Formats: sequence, structure tokens, C-alpha cells
Amino acid sequence: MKPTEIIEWLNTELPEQASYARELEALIWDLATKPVPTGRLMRSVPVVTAPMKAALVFGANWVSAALRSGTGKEERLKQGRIGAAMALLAAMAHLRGLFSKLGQVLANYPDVVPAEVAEALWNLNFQAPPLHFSLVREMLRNELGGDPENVFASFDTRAFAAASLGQVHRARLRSGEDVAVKVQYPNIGGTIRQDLANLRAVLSPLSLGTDRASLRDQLDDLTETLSMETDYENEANELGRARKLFEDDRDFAVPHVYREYSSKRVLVMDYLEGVHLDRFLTSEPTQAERDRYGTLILRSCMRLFYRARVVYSDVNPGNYIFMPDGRLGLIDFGCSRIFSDAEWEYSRQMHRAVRLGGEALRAGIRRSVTGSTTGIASDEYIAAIEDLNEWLQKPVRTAGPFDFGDTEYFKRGVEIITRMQTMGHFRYEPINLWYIRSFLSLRALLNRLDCKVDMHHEIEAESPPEMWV
Amino acid sequence: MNSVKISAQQKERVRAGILRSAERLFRKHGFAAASTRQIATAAGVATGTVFNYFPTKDDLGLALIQERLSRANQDFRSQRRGDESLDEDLFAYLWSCLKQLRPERRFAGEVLQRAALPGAAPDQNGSSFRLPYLMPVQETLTRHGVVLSALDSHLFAALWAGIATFWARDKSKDQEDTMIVLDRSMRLFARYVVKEGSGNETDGNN
Repeated sequence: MKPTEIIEWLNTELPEQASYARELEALIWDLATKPVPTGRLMRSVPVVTAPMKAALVFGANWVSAALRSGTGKEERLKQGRIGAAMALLAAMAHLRGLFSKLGQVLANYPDVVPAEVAEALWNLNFQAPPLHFSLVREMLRNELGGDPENVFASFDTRAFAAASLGQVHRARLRSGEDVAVKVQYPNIGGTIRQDLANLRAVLSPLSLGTDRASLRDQLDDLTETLSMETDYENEANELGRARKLFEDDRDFAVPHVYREYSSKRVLVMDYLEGVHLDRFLTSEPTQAERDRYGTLILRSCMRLFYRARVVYSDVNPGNYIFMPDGRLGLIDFGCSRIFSDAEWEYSRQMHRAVRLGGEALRAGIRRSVTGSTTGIASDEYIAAIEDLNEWLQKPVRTAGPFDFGDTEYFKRGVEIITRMQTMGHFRYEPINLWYIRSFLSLRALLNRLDCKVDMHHEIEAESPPEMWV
Repeated sequence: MNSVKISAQQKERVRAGILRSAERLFRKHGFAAASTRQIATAAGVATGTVFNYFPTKDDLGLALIQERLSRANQDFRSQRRGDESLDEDLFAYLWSCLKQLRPERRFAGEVLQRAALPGAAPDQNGSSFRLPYLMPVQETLTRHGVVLSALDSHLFAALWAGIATFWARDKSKDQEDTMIVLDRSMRLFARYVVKEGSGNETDGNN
């Protein structure tokens, strides 16, 4: 069950438990705003990546929808499925981190949630342990055909950072370059594929009365995206594209990938000197420094989007290096998604609808949630999307720098998205899920950076004119 | 003297013949399905003769994989850095065994599983494990200052037997799922034997 669903369930079914709901709300706020830890590997390995969170939310949506509908025998049948679905969601090892905090809270209130949900959440004090060197050595042997001591001039046996689906070690090539070696967890690709196949098998029967094709499309999208993330060769391609995109810009650094040392599960790239967001913030940067880096982060996202048609699913602090020479290092493209021509055209039309507003916007919304500009969507849902649009556009419509450090502004966005998710609309363009996550996570990051950025200027500078006609 | 020498050569020939037949039949039918009688027939000796050389079928199985296990021990020793934690040390040796045995996975898993069970109490040498190939495990535990009780030895044996069974059927690429199972199991075991108040020590004791 998705956090927002649990809150809704508590509010409607057990109003006397509202204090628990408030506690949960605070917890969800933490989950939404606090970064996935990337520094202290021993404390926690963030195997919960953005697409995986999306998988979780997606599955939970279906579960909660099933909980709300159906009566009698059908209801009981569904309950069995729901139990299985919850157990599966909980068992998806890579999602457990997200659920673990929720599980800790809910474990104190066993009467508050359905038994199968509580049980699924109970067994979640799981954190993937970091790989010790003997395991890393095996992975490198399997992938590169030799021991790290032989392949590299030197290799640090302890990881210095966690990464999407793996961990990162420092090393030096025999040709002298300092590199970061990203090593994937053993058989994580196979595990994810199996998890998703199971999820599909369990969720599909719940789609009675809803749109089967939409469910299939979204599961397909999720499966494709996750399998892309487990392929470091794909990430190497993305890094190569990004490096080209930013090569003439002295404000950015994108590491070079050493293809001859890389494979689907090992990625070797330049080591970029610098710190992640947490360390940057503890150095007490001036407002001007925060604003500058905030601007660079936003600019990098806009450039990737408008010029390379790439959207990050999660604008994660771990993707950025604050370098001592003032550059912004862009290091992680595992969670990015390239738009197809059809998706880009859809995106262009939505841009235009957003700018025009009014009936054009409502027609665009109907299309995005029903597949047709004349399709039927509830007034409530359309109103929520209009609110979302207004929230998204506020920084764009503000003349000059917008204060992303305004926590009230960010909270408002979380409220709107929470409201939308509880309405149970499942039929929409899969790309919308990416948009929303990207929008929200970018704003969350800028909020943490407590920066002021002229978003209007950045969009005008980076977007091609044809985007708006 | 001459007759003794011939006898020793003959014995060696018979032993080698039994091993060759056993290997062929184990590979073809699996360890459990190939009987000692079939092995004796294939080797052209009486069933009782097989037992003269190998008191049990487990001993026969172990003799077949002994050379690979010796190589595993050499690999393990040559790759130790000296700063390994207990669980990493145990993982490194046992994974080394499984890697060496990969070509014989069809029957080696069953041999390991059956042969893993320890004696009821430490033997006269203080070892918790009766089989030579598990001596590196004993040495590793000693190096980390860990003394196993009889119960601890059984726990280890149960884990190792389960891992060997899983490995024998593991279809994942390069048996990476077994890597994960072995890693998690050794972490669990290390945590268990260095539990608070046991007097056992752990990491970095080299």
C-alpha cells in the first residue's frame, strides 16, 4: 500500500486514528524530501532507486484500488490477491528500504492497517549490505575476465559510494587515470525481472473493471525502464551523449567512460573530485553559491530535456558532484529516460496546452488521462491536474529568481500529487509518471539547496522555439 | 620387496579404475542414483572390493573432488589480503571450493551436502569438522579467535549443506544467486558465532 493510500485509509476508515495518520504524514514527508543517502555506505545502501519506487507506487495503486471496490465473493477473492501482492511488494528486495521506515512505524499500530499489509511491512528491517571485496572481485572476474589487481594499476578494496544497483570503488588505470569503478550487485537484473514477472502475474487479475491495456502498457514501460537501468552499457551511452551535450560548457563536467573496462554490469569512468550535496551544505555555502549551483542543476535538466529529450526519473543528489573548481559534475544517468518521437510530440502538445491554459489545457489533460481529447475524466481529477499545473508553472511565471527554498511551496506540490494519486486514475501516458517524478524530485533538490533560480530564463534559454507552437 | 611393489601398483590401478567408473556414473546418473554395485560392476571388481578402498560412498565422492578442493584451498590462500572480516574470509574459501567444483556440479553438490555433517564433538586435533577440506574453515575461525561449540558446528554444517544443494540447482549466470546465498549465510553465521558474551572475536584478527 502506498503511503498516501495508508493515510487516506486511516482518515476514512479509522478517523479516531488521525494522530497516527499525522505521524505517517510526517514520515511520508521525510521519504519525499530527504535524499537517498549516498555517502555512508555502511549505514545504508540506497538500492531504492527512483524507477523502483515508481514500481512500488504503481503496484500499491492497484492494490488500493482493489481494496476500494468490489463486494462479497469478488471482494474476498481480491483480498487473497491483495495479500499476495503486498507480500510480493514487500519481498522485492530492492524496494525494502522505502518500506522499512513505514514498517517500523506501522509495526507499533498493528490494528491500524489490514493484517496482510501489516505482515508485509513487518519483515522489512532489511538493508542490502555492501559487497565485500571478495564478491566485488568475483563480479569483476566475471565481467572483465581478470582480477582487479591485474586489470587495474591499483584498486581500492573499500567502496567509497553507493550507486544505482551497486557500489563504486576508486581505482587507477595502468595508463595513469584516476577512475571510479561502478560494480553491480550479483544477479540484480535477474532478480528485478523475476520480481516484475511475479508482480504482473499477481496484479493482472485485479484489473477487472479497469483498463487492461493501460495496465499492460504501464507494466511494459516499467519493465523496459528497469531493465535499462540494470544495463550499464546503456548508461555508458547516456553518459557519452551527455558529455557531448555539455562539452563546450565550462560550468559542467561529465566523466569519460572507459569502454574497454566496462560491460553491462561494470562501468569505469573518470573520477571527479568533489563532494555531494550533503557535504556541500555542511560547508555553509553563501546564498550566491547555492543560487549558482541551483541554476546549474536546473540548467542541466532543461538542457537534457529540451536538447537531448532525456528526462531524469529522479533528480537525485547522488547524481551531482560539487567540484572544487566550481563546476557541476553530472555522474549518474542510470535513471534517465529518452522520449520516443511520439512521446516528444505528446510532450510538445502538452507544453503548448500548458501555455495556452483554459480549454486547451483541459483537452490536453483529458487526452493524457483517457487517451483522447474528448475522453471522459472526472472533474475532480481534471481540477487536481489544473492545480498541479499551476503549481509547476509558478516558478516559470515568476519574474526573476524564484525562491525554491520556500518549503510551503514544495509542500503544496506534495499535497496535490498525493491527492491525484488517491483518485485511482490508472490510465494515462506512461511518460506522465516520469514527468511527475522528475518535476517533484527536481523541486525537492532545489528546496534542500535553499536556492533562488530564474526558471523562466533557463527554460527560454534552453528550449527550442518549436516546442511552443 | 618386488611382490609388494607390484601389489601397490595393482592396488593403485584398482583404485583408479573404481574412481573412473564412479566419476562416469555419478556424472551420468547423479550421486544418489548411482549405486556402489553399479560402480563395482563397471570397474570389474566385487562390491566388497570397492568398500576395501572407500569405506563409504561419501568417501568415494569426496576422493573424486579432492583434487579440485585442494586447488580451491591454494587459490584462497594466495588471494587473502589479511584484512578480511570473518564472513568475507569464510565466503572467499567456500566460494573458491564451489568455483573449482563447477565442472562436477551434477554430483558434487550432493557429495558436499552429505559430507558436510560434522562429528558430534571436536576430534582429538580440536577440529570441529571431520573432513580435511573443511580444515581451512577451522583455521579461519581460529584466526579470528572463534571457538565453535558442537551446536555451532552443526549450524555451520546445516548452512553449508543447504548452500551446496542450492548451488547444485542454481541456474543463474555464473551461479550468482549462490554467491548471494553464500554471502548472506556467512554473514548470518559470523554474527551468530561472535554474538555478545561468547568471548569470540571477529574482524581484522590476523
